[in-house]
Amino acid sequence: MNQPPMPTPPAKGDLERRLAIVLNVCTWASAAIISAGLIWLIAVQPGQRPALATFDTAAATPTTSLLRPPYGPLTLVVVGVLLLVATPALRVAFLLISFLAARDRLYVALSAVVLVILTLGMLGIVH
Amino acid sequence: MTLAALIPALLGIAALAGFLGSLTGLGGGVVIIPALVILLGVDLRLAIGASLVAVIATSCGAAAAYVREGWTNVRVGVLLEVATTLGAVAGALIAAHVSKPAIASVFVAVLFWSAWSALRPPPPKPIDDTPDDLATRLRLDSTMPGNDGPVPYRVHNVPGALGVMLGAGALSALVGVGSGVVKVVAMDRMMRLPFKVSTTTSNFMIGVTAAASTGVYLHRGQVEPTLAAPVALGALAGSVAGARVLTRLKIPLLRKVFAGVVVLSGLELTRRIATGAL
Repeated sequence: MNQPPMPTPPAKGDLERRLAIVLNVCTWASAAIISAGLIWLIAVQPGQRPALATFDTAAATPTTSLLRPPYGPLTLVVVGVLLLVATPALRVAFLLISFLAARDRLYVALSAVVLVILTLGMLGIVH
Repeated sequence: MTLAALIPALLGIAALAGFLGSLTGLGGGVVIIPALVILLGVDLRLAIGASLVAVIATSCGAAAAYVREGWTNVRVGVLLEVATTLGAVAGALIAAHVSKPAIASVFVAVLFWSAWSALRPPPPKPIDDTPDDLATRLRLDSTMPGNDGPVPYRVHNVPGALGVMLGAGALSALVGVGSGVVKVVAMDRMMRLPFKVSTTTSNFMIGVTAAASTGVYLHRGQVEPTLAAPVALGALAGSVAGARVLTRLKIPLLRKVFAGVVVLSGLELTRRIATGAL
């Protein structure tokens, strides 16, 4: 049997370390923002009862509308949630830049496609 | 329930679910959604929205650790994400036109499948050294950490895995779970990645997939912040704690407990679907 040799492993230590730092910072920053918002929310409206038992798809307002004034604890909570939801997109963006630096055209294109799909969903272009 | 009681309750439930999900490797969604629906009477669609945010949180928390250790195959992850994110956006769009009992039925099927795979982890497989044409052209073959330095491995059946991932993405969006079960099957059985490479790469992708559908749900108002935020926070804490104690616990017993909880909630949800309560 004549088999080609296994390929040499790509250098990956540096890229992955930086990627891990980006992920960690975003995740824990959003956790901190969400915590602050929730504590503030309990402090000012401890007796409020959110309506969670029913959801009407047609009548619901976008979660992102809470980012508009008047600002309050829920604004902060939503900012934290949005940062969390954006973290995977940041991860893909970071990968794209790293592939770009390595002149890896195929994977630059693939990460760009993923990023476009994520952005379409997040900006509410498809919903 | 008032916010002062609800938020601590959500944090506790999600922390437990995240802990169990991280220890068994099956994600918290299959525990979080039934807990919210059965214990707290939350609407299924809102529970799905909250669970997806929790899936992102746990994926980000765990992925950072795995990427650092060098197990994740970033190229395989990016390639398969093209399929999972497309599937996820499609699934989220379809979900608006699917009735609640239908979504609940698909979810129950996912519950039973998760319980089954928790009890029967895939058998160890021999290393496949034959090169795959497409995988080689896509430069997917890589190495994983070993006792005596990096160990090389090869990747197979890329088109098959892409197809399964499209379905996994749609399923994830429709019922609000990470669908790690489906992903690991595709990477494990089809691409024949080493087990730890497939689980960590799957974890890496789960967050990106969930973010694609959560984006759609955010604009549909299906992510209720007073519900989703504490659930995400609790799940993150639980999964990080789970990853810390992973090596010190008896996993087989835990998998049985997990499967038992999942089956019981599946049966209760089935009863509710049958009686029209869901």
